[in-house]
Amino acid sequence: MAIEEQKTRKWSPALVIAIVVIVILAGALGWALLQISAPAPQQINYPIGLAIATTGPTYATDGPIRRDAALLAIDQMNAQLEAAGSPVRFQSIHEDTAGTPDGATRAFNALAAAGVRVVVGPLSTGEVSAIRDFATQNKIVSISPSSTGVAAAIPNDYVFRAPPTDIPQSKALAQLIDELGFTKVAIIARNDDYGKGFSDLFESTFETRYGGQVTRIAYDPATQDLATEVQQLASDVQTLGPGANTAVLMVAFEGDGLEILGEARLSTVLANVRWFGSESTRRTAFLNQSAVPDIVQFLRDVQFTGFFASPSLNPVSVAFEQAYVAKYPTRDPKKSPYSYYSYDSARLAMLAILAAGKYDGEAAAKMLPIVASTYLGASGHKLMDANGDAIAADYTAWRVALDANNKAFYQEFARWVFASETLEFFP
Amino acid sequence: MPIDLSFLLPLLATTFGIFLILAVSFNLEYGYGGQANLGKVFFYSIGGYVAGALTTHSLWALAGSPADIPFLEDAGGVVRFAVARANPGAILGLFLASLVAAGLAGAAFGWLASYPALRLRGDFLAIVLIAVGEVSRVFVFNYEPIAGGVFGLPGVPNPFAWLPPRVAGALYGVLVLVVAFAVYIYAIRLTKSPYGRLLKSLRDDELASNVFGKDTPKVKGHVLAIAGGMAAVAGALYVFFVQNVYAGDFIPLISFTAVTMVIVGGVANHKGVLVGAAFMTLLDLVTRPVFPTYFDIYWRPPFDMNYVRYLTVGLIIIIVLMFRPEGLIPERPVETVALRVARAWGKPAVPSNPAADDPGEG
Repeated sequence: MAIEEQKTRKWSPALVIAIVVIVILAGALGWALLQISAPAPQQINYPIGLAIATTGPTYATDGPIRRDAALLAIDQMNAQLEAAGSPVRFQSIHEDTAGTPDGATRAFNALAAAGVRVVVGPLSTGEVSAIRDFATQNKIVSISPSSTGVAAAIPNDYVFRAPPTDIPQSKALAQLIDELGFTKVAIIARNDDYGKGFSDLFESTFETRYGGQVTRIAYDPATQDLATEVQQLASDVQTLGPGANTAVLMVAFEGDGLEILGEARLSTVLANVRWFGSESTRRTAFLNQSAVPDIVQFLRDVQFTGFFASPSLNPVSVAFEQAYVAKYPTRDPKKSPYSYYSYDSARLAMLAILAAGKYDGEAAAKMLPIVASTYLGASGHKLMDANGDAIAADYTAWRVALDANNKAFYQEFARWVFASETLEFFP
Repeated sequence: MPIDLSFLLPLLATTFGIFLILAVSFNLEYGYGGQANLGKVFFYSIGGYVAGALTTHSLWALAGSPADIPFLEDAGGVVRFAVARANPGAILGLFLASLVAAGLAGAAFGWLASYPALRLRGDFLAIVLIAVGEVSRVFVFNYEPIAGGVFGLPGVPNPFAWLPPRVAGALYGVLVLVVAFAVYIYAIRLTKSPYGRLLKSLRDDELASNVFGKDTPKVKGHVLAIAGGMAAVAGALYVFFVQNVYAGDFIPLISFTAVTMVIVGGVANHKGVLVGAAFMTLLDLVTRPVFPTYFDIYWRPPFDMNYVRYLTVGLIIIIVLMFRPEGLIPERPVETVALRVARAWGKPAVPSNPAADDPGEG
């Protein structure tokens, strides 16, 4: 009897679920169809994949800013192509990789199935390592806007990287810290490929070249509360000796950086040493007087200092920032320093395809270094080395200072010249 | 751009195969054995680490362990790919050895997991196993020798890497499906046997099972070992697909994906698990932003479709739990002689009692 009763209502809930799912999907598809304007006659669509993480512990904040920078570049290029009467249009397809090798591999497979042969992304060195063989074997060009790990510098493949590796920045920072008279550095760094890669290089350079002493704390970027790690950092500083020759180096992004600074400002030990940061720490959010006044004061007190790839300010970067804010009024490209690289990566991808004259991964890969050799973008020159990575340019040193209106800003005060590996302080 | 099935089908086949093994594994433990192993990802990761370590170190040895190339870095991965392409027999053998080693290691850890399972039940066991999965992930993430730490360990080549890339992808998809269905059939045979009904008795009333003289701790150990081995095989298949081992990939979401497949499909029902795995595979595909472009529809919505994916999965779980908590294909009584006789007599059908079943049925 129980079975009979079950039979009479066996499929109704399943039907409800099926109908709900079908309605959602049909609605989405219908909406999509309504959004599609009739293509211009003989329009040629070239898809550009964006394998950019917008979720996950590492890139949930930075990822969307970088993705939008790439989308901006594509929209600008399409507007120019339309104005020029060209039938070519670049179509963006964004796939979230969640910042993991698994996500990157699946995204590349899914994009390859759609015929995508040129991809902007993935972001991290771990992801780049995972897709390298797939991309190379299947002749799919990958241009990473933010992978800087030395481990991924490999020649003769289809992976290109818009930023230089961490080597020049670590050399520049070690040299600056040494020239400013610091001999001991307590590092607090993200325990991910960026944080570890950069810290390893800095530590090695600072110890071997300058005879410095280094301690390090690696924290989980997904952790919301870093009070324990900051306490440990204060303890490290105490151990090194909180004198005039001891400094702190923070390798962080925005959310974790704010958490570290928020805790550090409460420590008298940490407030009495000079702080340095990786290029990823030059954040406008750190200097938001109305939101985090205590942190702004702390950064002024500790003379927070770091480097950024030059030329950080050039006509292209200024135009990019203006266009970005105009298109996405609620977003700020400065919140993610690598948004500039995303913009340039997308532009390089499109220019390489246009230069090749056809949509083909092999042709685009051959043209990309040639296009990049004469390209000056929002993140600077993009001449590439034998590994397909941007050759390092000069680096500009910045520190937190006050402007004429008594407002904190990142004041540029020196340049590290890549060719001579020397520091030039501005007058 | 026309849809390129030579990429899409292998992706679907591999995803489905791995999902199916994970779902069968969880269903065996939870659906039949009543052990909510929410640390499924731990056993999955064990398979990944074992397969990754065995393959990368063996290929490295075949390359002569070059001292001037860093093993953990991409350059090391490039060397391993080159060795695999030059030695088809070696990489195929390593793949098979990896499956076996991963299965054995997963089973061993599953057996170990049965010890807390003897003292903990329900939610407490689930929490402990989740914690085990997380602790192991954090440990491996911070200890480079196992899986390269924060950078991961590149260079776990597809076993068909010596063939043209599209052929290699397609063959690997087929291979994953073969392994998945072998696991599936094994699970069906196991659960239709008297042992399967013993498992159900453990789930439904452990005390009663004890009263009938069944060694329930041993049964728990068996089922966790078998399911652990299955999950580890899925993990091994996974690393040969992504060609990389990265501890950060082994997150609790994988365990919950297995749970979702079983809940959606139907607990303690193999057809339900099949439906659940297929459902999640297709859901993963159709909610991808790239999906409309397979039909030449280029669409950039004003929101990030990737977020919709996660919302959709959550919504489906809620709907299923509200309207069909037993899943799309509910559990059915095992077709035993006793049940058929009861039906013939017109008596209400009830799930069979293992002690009363025909031990030869199955």
